[in-house]
Amino acid sequence: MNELSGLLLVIVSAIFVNNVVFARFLGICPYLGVSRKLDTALGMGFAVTFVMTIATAIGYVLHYGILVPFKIEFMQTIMFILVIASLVQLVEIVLKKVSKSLYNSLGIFLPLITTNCAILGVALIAIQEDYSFVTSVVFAFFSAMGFILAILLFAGIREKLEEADVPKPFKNVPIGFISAAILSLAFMGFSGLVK
Amino acid sequence: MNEALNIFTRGFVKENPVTKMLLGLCPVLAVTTTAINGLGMGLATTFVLLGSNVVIALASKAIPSTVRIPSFILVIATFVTIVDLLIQAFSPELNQSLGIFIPLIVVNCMILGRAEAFASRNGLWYSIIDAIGMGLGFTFALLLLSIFREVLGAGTIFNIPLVGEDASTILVFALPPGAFAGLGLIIAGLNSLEKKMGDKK
Amino acid sequence: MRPITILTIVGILSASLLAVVEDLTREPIAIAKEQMKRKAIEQIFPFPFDSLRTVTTEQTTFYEAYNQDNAIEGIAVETSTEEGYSGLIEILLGVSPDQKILGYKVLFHRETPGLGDKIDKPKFKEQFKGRTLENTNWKVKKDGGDIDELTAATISSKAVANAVVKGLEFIKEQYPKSSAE
Repeated sequence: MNELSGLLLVIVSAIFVNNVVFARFLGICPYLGVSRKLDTALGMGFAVTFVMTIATAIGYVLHYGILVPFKIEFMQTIMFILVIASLVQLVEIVLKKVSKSLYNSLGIFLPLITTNCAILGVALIAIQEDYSFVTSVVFAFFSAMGFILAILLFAGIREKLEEADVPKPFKNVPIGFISAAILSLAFMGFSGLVK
Repeated sequence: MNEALNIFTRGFVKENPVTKMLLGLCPVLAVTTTAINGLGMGLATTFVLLGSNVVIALASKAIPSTVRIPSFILVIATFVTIVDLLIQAFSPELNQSLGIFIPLIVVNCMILGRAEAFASRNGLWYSIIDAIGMGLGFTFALLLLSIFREVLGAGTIFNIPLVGEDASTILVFALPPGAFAGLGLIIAGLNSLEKKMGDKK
Repeated sequence: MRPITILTIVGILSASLLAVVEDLTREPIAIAKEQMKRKAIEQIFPFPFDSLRTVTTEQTTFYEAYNQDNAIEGIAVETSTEEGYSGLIEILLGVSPDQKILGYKVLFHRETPGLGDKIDKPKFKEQFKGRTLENTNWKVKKDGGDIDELTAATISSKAVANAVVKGLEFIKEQYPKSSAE
């Protein structure tokens, strides 16, 4: 029971309180890049979920199976980024073979994911917070859900902004940041929800 | 020489990696709560960029295109780890406040971008100038945003208090929303400034 | 085959370079960590001390500060609570040999900036000086105790009081003799 409620806390915290985009500032580039349209935002979100969850799981195993016993924790950054890069490549190959339609919809996002700092960031945070294996995987999956929530919200706002009469210097990017600030302010209301 | 000067200066305004190209935004937003953090992050990134540009300018001909990206990432990750260890050893306070964003320099798209778009296609000399120009441009943007946020949010600049201890400050600028709003305002400000300068010509 | 060979060479080169750098920085990093600790301890003790001894137990870590004559002048202990508004708060608590509080320093917290983070401001910290486990009712004033809570941050204030009590109890357990003095 206790473990279950602990997991629940991790879930709520990952989606709302410490949202990857609004509170941790991870994955900002794709957040701005692919959030123009709702459906591309969703596609990117699913690709990120997949890679983030698996990368965190593999990273966990490698960290405690190889880096810690051999006392080479300083290789963590290199190891994790290589895991993510090869994972992305692998997913691309498998998707191509298994489902053409899924590949066509997710394919273009895959190369972008390697340099999505949310993936590496979440994998590193899971180690830093001393999470167990199960907690790490749950944390990664729901952090990705938080990411999807953030880009969906933002994509919705951006579609409206297209038609809005924005002062010239604020057109496009600046007004995007201002909307993000307001969203982030709203998400701050969740703090204190998790103790 | 003119070409070199052009490569050097464009990183500051015309092609500034942050305000124009919107690259490497995660550390820009996350660590700019104080000017010292912003400066530290900017210089650490500049160091990594310089290292990776040098190595890639020298070695890119020997690297076949199929493993180009993984090799570049390996080179960048190596320099990031070096910076990480050096900061831990010589500035533990900075290490504590930058935290996870030091290893995350590796996924700063600006660095891989410069490796791909510039260093792998240009000679050593230009690649060095490009790295320093872009790196300092990145640092400049970080410094601008962090001074803005520190002054308004904490009432200090480089940890030197500007107002009395009990004075209330605009706290929101020290918090995540202030990072987004601050960057939006700065980019809008630069946009209108640029337009005014263009009009005068 | 060539691409794989090249990638392997790049990997080996970077790994060996890192091994060298790691080896060179291992000692400076250890020293830097030690100095950070020492600096934190120097901040909570109002007097300069000569040497420091670290005592590690199952629960926590104690630091004993000695003067030139090798007499103990203060004890610092790491203590924490999960009861903060945003969870974990870690503090370093310093007491005199007769277990009166000399001061504390917040090592880690995620409290709300501008409200809860005032637990690390001198104004709030001042009231803890001279208190002991026995001479104080460790509740906040709202609940009839002795601790002045921070405006709009009662939870953070309570959490700090809890962590301090926990630290005092650790010290009492570890140094039962000096308490009887």
